Amino acid sequence: MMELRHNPITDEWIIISSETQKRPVLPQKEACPLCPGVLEMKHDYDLTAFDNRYPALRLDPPEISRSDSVFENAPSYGKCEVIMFTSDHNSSLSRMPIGQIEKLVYVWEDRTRDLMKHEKIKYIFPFENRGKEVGASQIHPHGQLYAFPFIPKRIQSMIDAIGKYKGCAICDVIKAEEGTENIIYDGEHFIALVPYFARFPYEVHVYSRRHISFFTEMTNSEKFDLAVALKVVTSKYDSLFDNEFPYMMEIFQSPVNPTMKNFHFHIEFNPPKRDKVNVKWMASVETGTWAFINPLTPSDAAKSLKKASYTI
Amino acid sequence: MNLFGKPLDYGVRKGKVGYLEVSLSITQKDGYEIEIEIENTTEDPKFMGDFKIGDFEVSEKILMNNYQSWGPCTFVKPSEIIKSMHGLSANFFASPVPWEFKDGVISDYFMADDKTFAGFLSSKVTHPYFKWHDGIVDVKIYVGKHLKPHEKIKIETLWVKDFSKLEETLELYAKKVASSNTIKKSGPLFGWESWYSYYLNISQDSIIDELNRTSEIGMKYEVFQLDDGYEKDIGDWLETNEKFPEGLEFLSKKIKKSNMMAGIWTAPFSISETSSIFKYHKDFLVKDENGIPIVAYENWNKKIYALDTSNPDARFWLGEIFSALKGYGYEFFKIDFLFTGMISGKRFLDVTPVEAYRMGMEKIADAVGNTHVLGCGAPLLSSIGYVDSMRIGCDTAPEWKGELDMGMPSAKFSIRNALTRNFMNAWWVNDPDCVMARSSETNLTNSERMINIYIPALLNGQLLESDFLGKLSDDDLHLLRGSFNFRNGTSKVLLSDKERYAVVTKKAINGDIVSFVNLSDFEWKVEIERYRPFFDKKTDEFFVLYPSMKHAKNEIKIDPHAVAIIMHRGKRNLRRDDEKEDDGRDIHYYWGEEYDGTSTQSHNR
Ligand SMILES: [Zn+2]
Ligand SMILES: [Zn+2]
Repeated sequence: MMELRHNPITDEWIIISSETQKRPVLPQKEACPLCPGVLEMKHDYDLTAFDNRYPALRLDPPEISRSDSVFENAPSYGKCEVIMFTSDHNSSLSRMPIGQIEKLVYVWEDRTRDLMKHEKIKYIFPFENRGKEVGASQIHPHGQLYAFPFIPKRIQSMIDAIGKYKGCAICDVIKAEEGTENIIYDGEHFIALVPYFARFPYEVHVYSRRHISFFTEMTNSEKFDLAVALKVVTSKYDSLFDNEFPYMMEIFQSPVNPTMKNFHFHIEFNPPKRDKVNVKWMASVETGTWAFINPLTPSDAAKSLKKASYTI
Repeated sequence: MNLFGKPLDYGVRKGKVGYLEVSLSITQKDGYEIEIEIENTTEDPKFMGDFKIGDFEVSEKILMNNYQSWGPCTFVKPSEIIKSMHGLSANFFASPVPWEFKDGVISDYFMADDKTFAGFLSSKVTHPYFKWHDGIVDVKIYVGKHLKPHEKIKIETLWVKDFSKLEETLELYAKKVASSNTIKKSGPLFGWESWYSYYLNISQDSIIDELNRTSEIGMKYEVFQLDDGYEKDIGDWLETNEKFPEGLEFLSKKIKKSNMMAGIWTAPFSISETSSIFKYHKDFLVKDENGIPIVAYENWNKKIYALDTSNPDARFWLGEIFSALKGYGYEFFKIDFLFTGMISGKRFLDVTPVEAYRMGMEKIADAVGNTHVLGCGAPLLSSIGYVDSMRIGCDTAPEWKGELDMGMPSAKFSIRNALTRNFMNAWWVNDPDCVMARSSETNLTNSERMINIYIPALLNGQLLESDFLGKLSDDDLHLLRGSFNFRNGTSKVLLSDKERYAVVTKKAINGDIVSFVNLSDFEWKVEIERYRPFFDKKTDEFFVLYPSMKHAKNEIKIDPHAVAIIMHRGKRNLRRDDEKEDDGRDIHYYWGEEYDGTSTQSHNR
């Protein structure tokens, strides 16, 4: 079964994709399917973007049978892509050369430009799940990208907040945090900080100093600085507890078709760890009410992350 | 330049020096190449010492190079330093012809003034050098053996060129030398060695402790090298002292188990007065005219004698040592104090000191086969072909030590030589000596530490670290790891003056870099634009200072004893190839312009 279903109680779209359940679980000893010449990439590569083998959304979705009046459904139109960061199996954002991350930013830009051409695509969302704690099945550095035919719920709440707020909240946060101890990367074009309102322990946000909405608006020097910011944040994460720090990295650009000038480009890192061993799960309160309980004072997290060493 | 009294010009020229007839065959090859042949024109065997083939007037300041690893390669005003050189007149450490220091300043192999470069292309038979005195430089050659009646030998070729850019000339010289010799080269390697933490206090237990720590701190060393301190005596290499009860094979096996190459230090041509080899084999030593063994140098509070590598028995003994070490599993040989093998004196065979030295080096090379040889304290030109990597400066130190530039341990001068001798990378992998990541137990400031760690990385030579691994802080380790991203590039060093250098590095892991190294005690103001011609133009280019990652303005100030590392960036041109998977799915391949299949390998785990 593959379709979109609308929940009228919460007014949100759910993606039904029972095909993803059939994802093959590779035995551990087997070769990495993401290494050059193994499964997904037939030959050597630098970076790639390819359609997910079992996509939840596709440009040619199966036809759906229209449901009755209570239930609304829609074809699972869209795109699910896998984005390979490097052919180096043992690397990671935290260890990749800065130039490689820079190239990744260019790839994200190209994917955005490519996919926004499809009029029915409304939201393009690149992300990375790192670590088994957040369900990453392969250690080979890669991320994914979902191109949605609707505005996902949390994005809608960002849009609503923009409507309510006078000016730009992110621009104001940047001004307010300038020079504070919450900033863990203070770059020319990007800053990374633990937000005052962090939901997760060690949550980090990366904001562009300039009010831009898309990768496609970035100058080359901004793309470089974003790459540096990502390297600093992720290598700080790794050195924080001296291990491969798991996280969800979510990249928020403006909706497309139509675009929103007042949407401010930003990236969130949501790490599930509360300390070296314990994981903060998305439990009843978080999942049920969307209210988050953060067991760590954000300024304390900022203090540790500021101290954590990093490489560029 | 005058050769036998006549200005340099192409053609054949003959001169008489004592019993010698010297013929010069001069051709014009991007400057002048002068092939030299010497002949004993008498009916008797004649001992040939040093002789002069020509001279030239030089500017006040010259680029002077010492013959061995530790010696300086720098700009000097000879008139200012000549007095301080007198003390070296009996010191083989400073020269194979130390007597010349009595009334001159010596530059071995090559030299330059502000317009002329002169350099010999090899040192396989003789030791060629330049002697400054009273504003004049004599072009000289030391032979050091008897020539049989009417024996004629071809010796080292000299190259002379008037230049406009010294850096380019040094590179051209490096190429010419490389093609006049057979090059053996492998590496560069990343490793750990024991010297700058333990010095002579190393023990079996401590080396095993350090070995265990390599995996704890997650450093992927390729080599793990035991330095001086394990041996029973200088010369008794296969016997360990009481601090190493299980012997050498035990250690190499341990190191190999940790997936690293086992490395070991020796000083193969050095024999101490207390060693058993000295006691039982006086016949293995280089002697003076009266048959008394010559003291080559003093160290470890002992007199050290020189192995006569022309003696087949001594050479056999030497080969046995290295075969044994190789048999134990050692794969990295740091061979030190090599100049000892080239002191002048009486040997078993009537060969020149250079020939004797090369016989010894040949023997070691044969014994160790394909494994890595790192030369140290070595006559540079004579070692080409026998070493994979070569120390090209003095010992470093956890201290700046910016006063005495005479080959003694110094953080400053070790880096200075790494910069001035960078062009020698064409002959082997340059080893600028160890980096020290530590912030404790060092007198280096943070900016001096940046120089000590990042310049070797940028020059992409050997990268050997020497620290107590257990005492490194996370920040220390990250400083070191960060430097790995500046390796793998090709660097050109621009010699602004003897204390200020610009390094243009292309295609390092972190891309194109320009660094300004200020070894002086004064602030240095640099206009980046002035260095424009040395790096490639980029679309939308911009410069970013590392590690602050702030945009570099055109004029930057570099503190004394500091380096400014500047990344040179611009628009990236990603190529995209669209393909289809077997099942029709889209796949887009993106390629960076510099992608060569290896440049993205992560080195900093
Ligand atoms: Zn892989
Ligand atoms: Zn804004």
